[in-house]
Amino acid sequence: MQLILRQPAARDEHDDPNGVVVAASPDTLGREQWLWDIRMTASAPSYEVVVSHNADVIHAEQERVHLASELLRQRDEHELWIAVAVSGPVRHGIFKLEPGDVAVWEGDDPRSIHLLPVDESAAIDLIRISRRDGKAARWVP
Amino acid sequence: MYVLNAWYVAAWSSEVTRDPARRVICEIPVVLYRTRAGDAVALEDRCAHRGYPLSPGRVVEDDIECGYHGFTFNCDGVCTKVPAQDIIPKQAFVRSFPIVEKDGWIWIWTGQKELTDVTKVPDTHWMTDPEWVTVTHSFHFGCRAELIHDNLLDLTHESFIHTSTVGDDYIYKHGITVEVDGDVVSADRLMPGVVAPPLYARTMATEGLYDRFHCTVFYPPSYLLLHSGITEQGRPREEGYLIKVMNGITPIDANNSWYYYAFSRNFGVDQHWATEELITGLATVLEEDKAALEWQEIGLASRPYDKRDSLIAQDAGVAKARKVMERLLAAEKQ
Repeated sequence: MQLILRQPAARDEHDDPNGVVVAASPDTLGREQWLWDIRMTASAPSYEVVVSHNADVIHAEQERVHLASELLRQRDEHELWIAVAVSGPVRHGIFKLEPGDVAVWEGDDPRSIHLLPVDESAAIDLIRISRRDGKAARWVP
Repeated sequence: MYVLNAWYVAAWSSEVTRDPARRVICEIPVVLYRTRAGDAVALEDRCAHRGYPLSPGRVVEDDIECGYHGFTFNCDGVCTKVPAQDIIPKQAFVRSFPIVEKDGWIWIWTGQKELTDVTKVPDTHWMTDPEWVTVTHSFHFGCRAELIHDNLLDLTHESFIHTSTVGDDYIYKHGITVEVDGDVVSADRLMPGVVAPPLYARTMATEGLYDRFHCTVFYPPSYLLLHSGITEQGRPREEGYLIKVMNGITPIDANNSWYYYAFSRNFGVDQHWATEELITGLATVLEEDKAALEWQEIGLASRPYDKRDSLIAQDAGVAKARKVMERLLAAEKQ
């Protein structure tokens, strides 16, 4: 399952002094146990990405990847990956991610994450989320 | 609770004539009629005198006359005549609504007049494009509008409810890509190497395997456009047999909705037998949806308040659409 969240979709969170929430799980507050959220704390062209997560339930790893050339990685089916475009457009299949856009992948499709830089400035923050109990991490809990 | 600063389908163009027609939209009673020049008019369907609906009255020249005591209102809702006296009370007016008539649809703006934005009237141009042919239906659904939104954003129900027309088990076996851009939410599913849906296969004259796709785009709060079709395997979508399903969902009240449905296709355009088959087949699809959603409304009515939906990954579009609707409703409360 793939989710593309365009930067304007996060605009309702702009009043938050801690930054703009660009992706979160659960998506509807107050219903399920909070697992993680991702905020952008500055505006273009120098985005900072801050990951907060419920460490009792999940494990999260964050990595800044500068895309000088293509990036091809295999995601474990039990992992949930999130790519936040922080600089330059990045292409994934038919989708072009502009800075501030987010892609979320979970489940069995797609497992292969293939990102291409549109120009030499392209960079993403890649966040890998897994559950501590070994179950599959899902965007919709 | 409704998002009111928005366009809703009030009627098909063909339904609005010189005879007044009543609609209830977001719990607002509306009377629709046409002037002598053919322009559509929408007024509050409640006489300023003593609340009698205007729709049982009659159109006189370009005005509408209440059938109870003859109060008469012009296209702007201003009272122009009180038969029993010469003086017209200052408060004798009814609300008038902005209207846009386009491609056979009549859209009404139910919110603040000063916020009316004609650029937000949805794109329905396939209805009048000679390269496409269209089948329309309109149904009353005894359910809240949001259930119809959910139904269109999660098409895995086709595998279970529409087995004789557009459904197949391969639908729920394929994942979706959900895209959220501002207020617009889309849910896209590509199903490579599958058979064509039974309802369209004969019209498409297809045999063998194709790539099938459907992508629902939700323009909240009232319009969902479904881009659908099949292509030769591995070929771009624009080369295929294409379908555009335009869904205008208009709340009547908290438990009832009008469903305005238009199905445009770019294949078999001159095949009248195919159109006839689709008129019948698509009515079946809508009747199946209506039955299912009315059952769902019954189920929800008796569900304890603290019991929530158990959403799954296929509901990603549903979840995002609900969030957008919550945001729009909150914005109107302020």
